[in-house]
Amino acid sequence: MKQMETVQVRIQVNGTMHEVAIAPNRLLADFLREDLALTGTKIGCGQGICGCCTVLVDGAPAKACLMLAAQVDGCAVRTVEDLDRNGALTPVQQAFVECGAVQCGFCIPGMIMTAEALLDENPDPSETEIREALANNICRCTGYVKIVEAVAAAAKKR
Amino acid sequence: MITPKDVVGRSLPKIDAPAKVTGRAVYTADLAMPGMLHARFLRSPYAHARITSIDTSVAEAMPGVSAILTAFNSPGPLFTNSKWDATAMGRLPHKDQHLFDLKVRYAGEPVAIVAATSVAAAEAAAEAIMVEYEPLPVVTDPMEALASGAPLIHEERESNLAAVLPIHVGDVEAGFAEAEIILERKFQTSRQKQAQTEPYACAAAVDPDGLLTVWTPNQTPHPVRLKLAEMFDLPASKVRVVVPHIGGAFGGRGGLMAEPWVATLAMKTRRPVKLVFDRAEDFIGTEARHPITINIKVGARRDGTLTALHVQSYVNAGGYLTVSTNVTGVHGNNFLRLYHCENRWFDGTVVYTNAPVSGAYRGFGAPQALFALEQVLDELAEEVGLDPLELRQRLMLKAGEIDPWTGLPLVSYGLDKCIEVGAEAFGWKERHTRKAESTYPWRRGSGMALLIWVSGTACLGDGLMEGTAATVRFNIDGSVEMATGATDLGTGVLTTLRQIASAELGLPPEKIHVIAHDTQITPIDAGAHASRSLFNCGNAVRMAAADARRQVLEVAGGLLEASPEDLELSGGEVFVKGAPGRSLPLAHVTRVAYKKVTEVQGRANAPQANAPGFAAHFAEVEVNVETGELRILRYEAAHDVGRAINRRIVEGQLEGGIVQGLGYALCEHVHVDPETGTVQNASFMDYKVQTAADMPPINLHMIEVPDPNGPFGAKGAGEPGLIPVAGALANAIADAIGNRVRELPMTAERVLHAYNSIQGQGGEV
Amino acid sequence: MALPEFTYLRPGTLDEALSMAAAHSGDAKFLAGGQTLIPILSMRLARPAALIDLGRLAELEYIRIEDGELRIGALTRHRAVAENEEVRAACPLLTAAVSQIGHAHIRNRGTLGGSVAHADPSAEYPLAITVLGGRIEMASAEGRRSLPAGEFFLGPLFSALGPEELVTGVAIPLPDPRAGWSFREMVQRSGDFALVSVAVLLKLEDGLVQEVAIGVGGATSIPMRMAAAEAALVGRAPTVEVIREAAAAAAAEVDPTDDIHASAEYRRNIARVMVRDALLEAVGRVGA
Repeated sequence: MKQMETVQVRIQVNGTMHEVAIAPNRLLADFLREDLALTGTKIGCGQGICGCCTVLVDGAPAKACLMLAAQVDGCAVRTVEDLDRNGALTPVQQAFVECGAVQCGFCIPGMIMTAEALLDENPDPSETEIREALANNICRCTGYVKIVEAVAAAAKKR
Repeated sequence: MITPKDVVGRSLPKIDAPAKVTGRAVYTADLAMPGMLHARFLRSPYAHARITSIDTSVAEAMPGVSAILTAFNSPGPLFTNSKWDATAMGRLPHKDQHLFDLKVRYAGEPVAIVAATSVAAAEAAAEAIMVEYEPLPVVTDPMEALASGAPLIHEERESNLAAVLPIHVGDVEAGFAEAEIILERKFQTSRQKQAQTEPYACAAAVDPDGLLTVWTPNQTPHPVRLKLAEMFDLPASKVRVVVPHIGGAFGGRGGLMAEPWVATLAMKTRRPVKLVFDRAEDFIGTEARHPITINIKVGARRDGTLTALHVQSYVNAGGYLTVSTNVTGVHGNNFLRLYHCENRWFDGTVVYTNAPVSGAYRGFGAPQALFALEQVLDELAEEVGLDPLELRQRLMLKAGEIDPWTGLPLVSYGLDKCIEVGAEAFGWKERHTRKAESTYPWRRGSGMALLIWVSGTACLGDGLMEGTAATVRFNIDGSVEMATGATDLGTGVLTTLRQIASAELGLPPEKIHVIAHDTQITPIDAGAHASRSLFNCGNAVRMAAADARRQVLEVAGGLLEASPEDLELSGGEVFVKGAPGRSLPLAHVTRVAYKKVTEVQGRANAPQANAPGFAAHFAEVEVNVETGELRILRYEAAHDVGRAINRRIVEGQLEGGIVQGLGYALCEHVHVDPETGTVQNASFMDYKVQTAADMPPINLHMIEVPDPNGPFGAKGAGEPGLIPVAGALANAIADAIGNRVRELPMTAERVLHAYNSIQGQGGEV
Repeated sequence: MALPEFTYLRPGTLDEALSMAAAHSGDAKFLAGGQTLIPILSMRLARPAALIDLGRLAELEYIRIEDGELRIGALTRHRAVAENEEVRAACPLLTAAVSQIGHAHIRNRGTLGGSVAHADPSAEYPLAITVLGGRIEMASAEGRRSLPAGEFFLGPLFSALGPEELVTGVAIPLPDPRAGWSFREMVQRSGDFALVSVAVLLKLEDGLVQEVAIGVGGATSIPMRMAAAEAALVGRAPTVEVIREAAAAAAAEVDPTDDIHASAEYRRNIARVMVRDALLEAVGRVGA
C-alpha cells in the first residue's frame, strides 16, 4: 500500500487551534472523534442522513461525516463539548434535560447543535420552523414530541 | 418529611440526561483502550452458498493485521443467538448456528472477522480475504421454502420447517358450524427495522487473570454473560458484561450479535478489540421484525358474538431461528386473548428462509397480530351492522375476568376508561359528520384499535422466568447505593427505579446512587424486554429498600429504646412516630450498625407476577384518492399505565412507541430481493425513518388504574404505544376509501391501489 | 467505512484545477460541497486516484444577473441561491426548486456544480435548469464549452461532462416576469429525493398559451421536457379540460422504472396528477 501524502491544516476546534498534518481521506467526524477524542459527535449513518454528527463550521450546522477534515482547513469548528461551561448548561441543553427530550441520547448532540444554530439565527421560531430545522436529524426514541417542546422552551429562555 | 407522594408521579429529569446533552455520555463506539485493536467482519454477498475455500494469506500479511478468524480456524460451538436459553426453562429455541460455518444462509452472514491496529487496516484486510463460494438456490419466501423441492437451508433437518407453535382451545369446527357469518382474510406484514441511531458495536478484553470483559449496548447483559460462559466453557464468574450507554435498543439488542466473535478475537490476540458496525451492516447483520403471512378466519353470530377464531401464520425466521418461536407464541396469543371466543385455534409455522434473520422488536409478534385482528373485527362490525367500538366492547375481557394468556384474573383494569377518555377526546360519535368536511381529492375516515399487553413475561407459560433482584445498601455515613440488574436503553428506567427507592426510603432521589449495567456488581436480571423492567425491577428495588429500612429501624430501635414498628425513616432521620423530638440522624444509626460490623443491605428477588396494561387508539385520516397520500388529522391514544411514577418518562415511551408504530404502518420496510436475498435499502437514505417534519399531532391520555402487583401500582409502558397503531390506521384508511389495505407498510401506492380496485373509483384525475 | 486513499489536491485557480484534472487523465474527481461525493467514496462506489478540492476557487462562487441571464457559479451553495432576493424576484421557480433540496444542513454545504454534475434525474437543479432553458457551462484544460440542459443530461447519473471536465456554472435566460410557474415534488419523507417532480413555466397571450415548458423528474431517466403535453397546450386556452389532456399526454410520455420505492405505474399516475396540479398552479400565477 502506498503511503498517502498528508495535508497540513489549521483547524480551530472549540476555540483551540490545531495545526496538524492529516491524511486527506480523514473525515471531519473521525478527526474529531479519534484524533481529538471529542466523542460527543456521533456517527449514526456515515451518509449524511441521520445528523448525529452535526457540528458547526464557521457557525453553520454541517454534517461531519460528509466533510473531509482537510476541507475545514482555516475554519472554526464547534462541537457539543464546547457548549457547557464547567457543567453550566446552555438554555438549549437545560431545556432538553427538563423537558424529557433525551432518551437513548445518541442523536442528542447533533440535535442540540442543530437547535443552537437555529436559535442563533431565528430566536423566535414557529413550531413548523423548529420541525423543519430538526428534520436534519433523526431520532428513533422520542417521536420528537419532547425535543420540539425543548427547543421551543429554550427559545423562550434565551 | 419525604413521603411516596413527594416522589411518585413526579417528572424528575433523567439521571443520564446531563451527560447526554453535553456529549460526555460514553457509548460503546467511543471506548478507547491502550493497545486496542479494531475488528471488521467480512460478510457473505450470497444469501445461500457453500464456502469451498478461504484464503487469508494476503490479508494476514497486510500491515497491522493481528488475527483473522474463519470457519477453518474458529467454527465455535453450536449456539443460538436467542437470549432465552440462558434464563428460561421449558420450550427453548434449538441451537442452529456457529460463529462461522462452511455454508452461509443469509446475505450478510459473517464469513470472517479481522482484528488489526486500525479500522482502515481491518477493512483493507477484510477486503483482501479470498473466499470461494458455490452459490446455492435462494428462497426468501416462507411458502416457497416449505414447498417440496425447495433448497434445504439447514441440511441436518428434514425441511425448512423450523417449528410449529400450536395453541388450540375448544372446538373450532363446531364453532364455525354454529357461525352465521364467516370471514376469511389474508394479511401480509413487513420487515420493520429497529433502526437504532447507534449502529451496533462491541468491545472485549481479557485480563491476565482470565477475566473476559465484554462491553456491549445489549439489553440483556446477564443472559449474554451466561451464554458467553457456556460458549467458551468459562465459569460465569470469569465473564463480565458491561453496558455503556445504549443508543437505542427496542428489543433488537438481546442475544448475541457481535459479542462471541469479538470475545474470540480478544482471547486469541490477548488485546482489547473493538468492533463498530457501519449502518449498512446494522441493517443486514442484526435482527428485524418478522414478516408474517396471516390467514385468519372468524365465525360469528349476527349479534357479533365470536363462535370460532382460526389463525394460520407463516413466520419468516430468516436464516437462523433465534427468538422466532417465542415471537410466534406471543403473536398467536395476541389473536386469542382480548376478545371472548371459546373456540380458538392458532398454528404458527416458523420457516427458515434465506432472508436476513428476524428477531425481537418492540411488540414481539403482537403488532402483526393486531394489524390483522383489528381489521377483521371492523369488517365483522360492518357485516353485523354494529359500531366497531361497540362490537369490541361486547367482546372484550372485563375487569376481574380471567386473562386467557396468563390464566390470572384481571385485578386491575383500565380498558373501559381508556375507551371512554379516548373516544370522548376523539369525538368518535361525531366522526361521521366530520367526513363531510373533506373535499375532493381528500377523503376522510376514522378507525380504532384496542390493546391488552403485559408487564413482563411471568405467568405466560413455557417456563419463562422474570428473575431479577436488587440490593439497597446504606454506607457508614448514611448515604445509599442501589444496585439493580435493570438495563436502561434510554428509557429512563434507572431514573424511575431511583424514585421508587426514594419513596420507600424517605430520602430525596439525588441521595441515592444507582449502580447498574455491569454484571460483576449488579444482581441478576433477565434483561430489558416485554415491558418488564420497571415492573419487575421496580418490585425488587422497592422490596430491597423496604428490607434495608427494616434493618435501619431495628438498629435505631435499640438506640431509641423503641419498637422498630413505631419508628419511621424519612428525610435522613429516624424518629419515633408521634414524638418528633425522639429522633436520630440516619448517619448515626448507620455508624452504629457498622461498628457492629453489620452492613445495612436490603436484598430482594422480584415476585413472579404480571400486570396487563391496556390501550385504546383512535385515528382520523384523510386520503388523497388521486395519489394515495395520507394525512393524519388526529390521533388519540389512551393508555392504562397503572401508575406513572415518572410521568414525563412514561409519556416519552408512549410517544416514541406510537411514532415507531406510524413508521410500521406507513413507510418502513426492509426490502429483500426475492431472487438474491440481498437487502436493497440498507441505509437511512432508503429506509424511511420519519423526521420531526413528518409527524402528525398525537394526543396522549394517561389512564392510571394502579395494579396491586406493580411497584406503586405501575405497569409496563415500553411497548404498548407501538402495537395498536397499524391496526387503528388501517381501519381509518378503510373507512376513508371503502377498501382495505391488507399489506404493510400501507404506502401511498398501496392505498391508491386499494382505492382504485373498487369498481367505479379512480381514474377521474 | 474509511474512505479509500487518494491524492488530495487543492488548486487556487480554475486553470490550476483543470490542469490537475488533465494530469490525472480522468482518474481525478472534483470535490465541491461533498454532500454527494463523500458518501459515494465512503460506500466505495468510486475510487478516484485524486480528489481536487475546489474549496479555494472563489471565482466560481457568484450569482449574477446580466444581459437577460441569471448566471450562477458552480461553487455557489444551495443556501446562497435559495436566500438570494434577486433570484427570487427574477426567477422564483429556481428559488422554489433550490429550497426543496434536502434539508438545511445539506443546503449549507451543497453546491450547484455538484448537483448538476451528479445528474440525478430526481434532483432539483437539473429539472429546474431544463425547464428554464438554461445552459450548463463547462471547462477543461482543452477549453470551455456550454450545452443546453437537454443535451447535457444523458441518463441516470450520466451526463455529457467529460472525465477531465468541470461544470463551472449555469446560465439561465430570465423568464418573462409575467410567466406563471410551478415546482412540485412528491416525497416519501421530508427532505428526500422526489418520487416524482414537476416544473412548469408558462406564458399566456390573450388568454391562450403562448409558450410552455413542462419538465418531469423522477419518473424519467433524465429531467425531461414533455413535448406532447406542451404541444397539447400551445395556442389553446388553459381550461381544466385542456390541462387534463396535457397531463394525460405527459403521463404517456414519461418513462418511469420500478424500484423499491414505487412502481413505474404508480410514478406514471402521480406524474399525471402532478403535471395537472403544476399547470393549474402556473396558470394561477400568470401575470402575478
